[in-house]
Amino acid sequence: MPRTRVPFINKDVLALLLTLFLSVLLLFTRTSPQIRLLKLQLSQLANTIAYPVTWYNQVFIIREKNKLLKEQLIQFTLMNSELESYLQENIRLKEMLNFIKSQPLHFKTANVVNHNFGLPTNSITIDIGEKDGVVENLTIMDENGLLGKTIQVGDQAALVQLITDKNFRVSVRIGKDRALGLFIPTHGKYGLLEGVRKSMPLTEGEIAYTSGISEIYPPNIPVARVVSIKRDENNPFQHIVVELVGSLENLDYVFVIL
Amino acid sequence: MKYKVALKIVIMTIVVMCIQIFIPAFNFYNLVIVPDILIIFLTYIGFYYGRFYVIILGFIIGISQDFITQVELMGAMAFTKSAIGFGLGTLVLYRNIWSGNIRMLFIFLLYNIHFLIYYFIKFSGVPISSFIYIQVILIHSLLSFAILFVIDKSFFNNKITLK
Repeated sequence: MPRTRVPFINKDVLALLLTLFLSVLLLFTRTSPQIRLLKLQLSQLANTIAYPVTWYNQVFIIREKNKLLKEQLIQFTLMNSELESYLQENIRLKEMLNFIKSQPLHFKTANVVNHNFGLPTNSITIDIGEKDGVVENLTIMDENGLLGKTIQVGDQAALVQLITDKNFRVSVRIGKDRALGLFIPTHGKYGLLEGVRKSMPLTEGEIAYTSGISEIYPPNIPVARVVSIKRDENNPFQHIVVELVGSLENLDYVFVIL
Repeated sequence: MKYKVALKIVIMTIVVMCIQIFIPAFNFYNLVIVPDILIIFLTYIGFYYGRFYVIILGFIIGISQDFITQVELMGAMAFTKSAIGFGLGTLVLYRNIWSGNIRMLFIFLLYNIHFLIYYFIKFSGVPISSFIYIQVILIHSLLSFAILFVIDKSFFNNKITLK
């Protein structure tokens, strides 16, 4: 049987390839800064050389992605038209039921001119009054949440009972089920949520919003965040400690909801 | 026969490596340059015995040099010496074809390639200007080439540099 011979692959070339391979192997096992940089440069060079191949492959990937996105687009278009029809149906049904749209809140900005923490009522004084349309029992809040309500109104000033006042109460809703509860301040920025049943799933960090049941406070104003939850076997309600979301520190200005 | 050739080369290699140890170094831009007589030895091996011997010998000599002088770059000299060994081994194929000038030019180019690769690895990540880089390569190549020229004239009766 005749021996086949590959041209240009002789012992010289084999020796060269073997020695070069061993040298590169030895070189790249080193961890000196020069070798690390050399590896980086070589990988960059390899990337540059392989760029056309990568680009060519990416074209196909993009084509596949484009195809998928087109399919998704058609699906979303169909879904959108379905939602559009639902919206029209919803508007029609609301009209049939004489449903009143919720109105956006109108508010006035007021400067805090006095802090009355020493008085029996924990309160502040603001620099707008009857002349600006302020009356008693208006909601006071800052950009984060509920702060209190107006209790006395003068011509150009009003007294605000703060949420931290011992006599302050506000009805709230919390959790996925929008369970009702009552916020009662305890000390500082902390308070309790009473009347939340034990079966109601709650997690720390959840926010309690005004319920809208009260005539004073509009619904969905953030009140407090859950800090801890305790469930006692003998008590049908959860013991929920909360902290206020509204900031009472360095109070300079507040919003009065008209 | 081959065994005798190999033994002869091994003995010569040991002798040349011993001589290389005592070659004085000089300073150039704070870079220590040692004239490389091992590359000259490889040139003669390539000229007389061909590629296979010079590649293997280049690798062994390179590894030894790396091990003695630069452990952190182990493999750099072995790589360059094996690579140019392939080129130097070509000399035997064209011994009677190339003129002395072409042979010398070829050797000089190979020396340049050798030092180019070697200093590329050595200066990788070192902030050094291209001008100094080229100067170092040329000086080292010229130095080795000059030594080859002198040795060839003195001891080998113009075997390589013969017109």
